[in-house]
Amino acid sequence: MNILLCCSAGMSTSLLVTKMEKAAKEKGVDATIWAVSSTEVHEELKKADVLLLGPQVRYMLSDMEKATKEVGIPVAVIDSMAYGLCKGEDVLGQALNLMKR
Amino acid sequence: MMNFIERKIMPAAAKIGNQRHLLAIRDALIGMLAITMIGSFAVLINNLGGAIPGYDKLMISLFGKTYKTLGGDIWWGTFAFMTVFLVVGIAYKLAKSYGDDGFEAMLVALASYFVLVPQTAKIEGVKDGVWGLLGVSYTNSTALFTGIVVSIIATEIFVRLAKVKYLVIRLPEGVPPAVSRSFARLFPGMITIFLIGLIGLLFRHATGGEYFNDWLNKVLVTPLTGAADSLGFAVLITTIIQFFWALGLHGSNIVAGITGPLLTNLGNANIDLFAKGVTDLDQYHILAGPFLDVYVNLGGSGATIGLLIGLLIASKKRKQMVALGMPPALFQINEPVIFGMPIVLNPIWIIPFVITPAIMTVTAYLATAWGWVYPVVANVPWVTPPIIGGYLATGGHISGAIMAAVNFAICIVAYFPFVMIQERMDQKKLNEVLKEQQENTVNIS
Repeated sequence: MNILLCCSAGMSTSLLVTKMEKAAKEKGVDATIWAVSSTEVHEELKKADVLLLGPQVRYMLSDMEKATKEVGIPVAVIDSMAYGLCKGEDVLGQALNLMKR
Repeated sequence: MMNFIERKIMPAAAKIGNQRHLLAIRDALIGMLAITMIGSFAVLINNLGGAIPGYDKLMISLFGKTYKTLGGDIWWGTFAFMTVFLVVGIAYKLAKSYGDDGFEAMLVALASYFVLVPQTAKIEGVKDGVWGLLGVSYTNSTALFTGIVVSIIATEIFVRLAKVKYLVIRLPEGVPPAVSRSFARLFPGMITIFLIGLIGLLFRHATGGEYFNDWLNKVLVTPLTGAADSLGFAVLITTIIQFFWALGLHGSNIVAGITGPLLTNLGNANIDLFAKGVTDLDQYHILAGPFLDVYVNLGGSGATIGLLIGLLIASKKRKQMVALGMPPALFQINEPVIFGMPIVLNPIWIIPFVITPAIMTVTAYLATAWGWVYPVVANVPWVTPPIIGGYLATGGHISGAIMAAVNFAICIVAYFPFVMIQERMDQKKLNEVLKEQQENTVNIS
C-alpha cells in the first residue's frame, strides 16, 4: 500500500516517515511511505492509497477532501501529539484504519 | 476556544494559505531557489574581502587579478534577470492551478511582460537615448512587483480565453498532438499579448508617456518597500506568524505569498548593492531576505531552541523531548517541539512562544539600524544552523554571528522562567497524586 504524507516543505514529515517505515517492518506490513510538500501533493495523489496531512497544514483539509474524492482515496489530519512525538506506529495505525473504512 | 478556531480562524488561514495567486507567487519563488542561491553565493565569494582581511590577496594569488569575473557573470545571469524568472514561474504555476499545463501560458506571459518594457534606454550625453537597449532595472528585482502583476494578469486572460470554445482551432485527427495543441492555444495567446500591448499603449497615453513599470515603482513599490522595511512591520509579521503557529498552523507558509515577495525584493536590493561594493550602510535595507531566519527563528519558528536548552538544564521529565527535538532544531526545524510538547494551545508555552520572537526581532532590527551589525547581504537556506546563518547572511561579518548569538542567549533567558513554572506545576501535580495514593492505601488498610 502507498501512504502519502504532506506538510509544508516535506521536511519535518520526513522524520516521521522513517519511524513509520520502521513500525511497518516490525508489523510485517508492506508499505511505501513518502512525504511531499504542500505544492507537490496534487501530482503525487494518483500514486497514493491514503493521504495524511501534517497538523500544521490542516487548513488544507477541505481542499484536499475535494481532491482525494476525485481519485477515491481517504484523507485525514495526523493526530498532532503523535506527529510531534514522532510516534510512527500510531500514525501507521491511523493510516491503516482509514483505508479499512 | 477550539470551536472558535475551527470556525473562524481555520477558514481565514485556508483562504490566505490556499489563495491561488499568492500560492503561485510563493511556489515560483521556491522554484527559483537554485538561481537565488548560486547568485547569492557568487556575490558572497566576490565580496568576502570587505569582511575578512587578506582575503582579496589570497584569492588573487590563487586565481589571478580577474578572480571576480566568474562570480560577476553568475550574478549577472541570476540576479540581473530575477523578474524574468518570476514572470515565467508565476505564469506556469498559476496556469497549472487552473488545470492548464502551463507551457504556453508561461511563454505568453513573458512576451506580455516584454511588450510593456521600453525599447529605448536613456544614456548620458545621448539625446533621446539609444534604441534597442534594455535597462537592467526592467529585468532585475527592481521590476519584481511589475513582473508579478503582469504575469498574473496575462495568465488570467490566457487561461480564460483558452476555455472559450470558438477561439480554439480543432485540427483533424491524424495531426500530431503537439501540433494540434499549439494550434489550440493560438488565438488565446495572440489575443492576450495584443490586449496587454493595448493596455500598455493606453496607459502611456493616459500618463503622458510613462511606462507601467516606472509608474508602479513610483506609486506602489517604493512606498510599500519603505513601509515593509520598518521595525513595526517586522514585529507585526513575526507576531502574525507566531499567532498562527500557536494554533498549530504553519504561519510562515500561510503568509509567504505576501511576505515572500517583499522580503525577496528588499534582500535582492541588498545583494545588488553588495555586489557593487557599496560601503555606505545607510543605503542597505534591514528586514532583508533571510533576516528573520538567521536572527529570529533560531531552531525554528518561535526560537524554540531556547526552550529545548531550558528543558535540558532544568527539566527532569522532558529529556525525551530534548532528544527528539534537538537534532532537527539545529537545522531550524521544530515541528516535533511545537506538536510534541505541545506548544499548540498550551497556555504556558504560548506566552514565550509569541513574545520571544518579537523581542529578538527588535534587538536584531535596531542593532542593524544603528550600524552595530552588518546588514543581511546574502541568501542562506532557512535550514542553515543558528549563528552560522548570521555569519553567512551578513557576507562573512562576525557582527552577524554575534547578533545571532546574542539573540540565542535572549531566547534561552526568555523561555527559562516558563520551564521553571511548568516544572513546579508538574511537581505539584505529582505530589497530589502521591498524596491521594497514600490516603487510598491508608483507607484500605
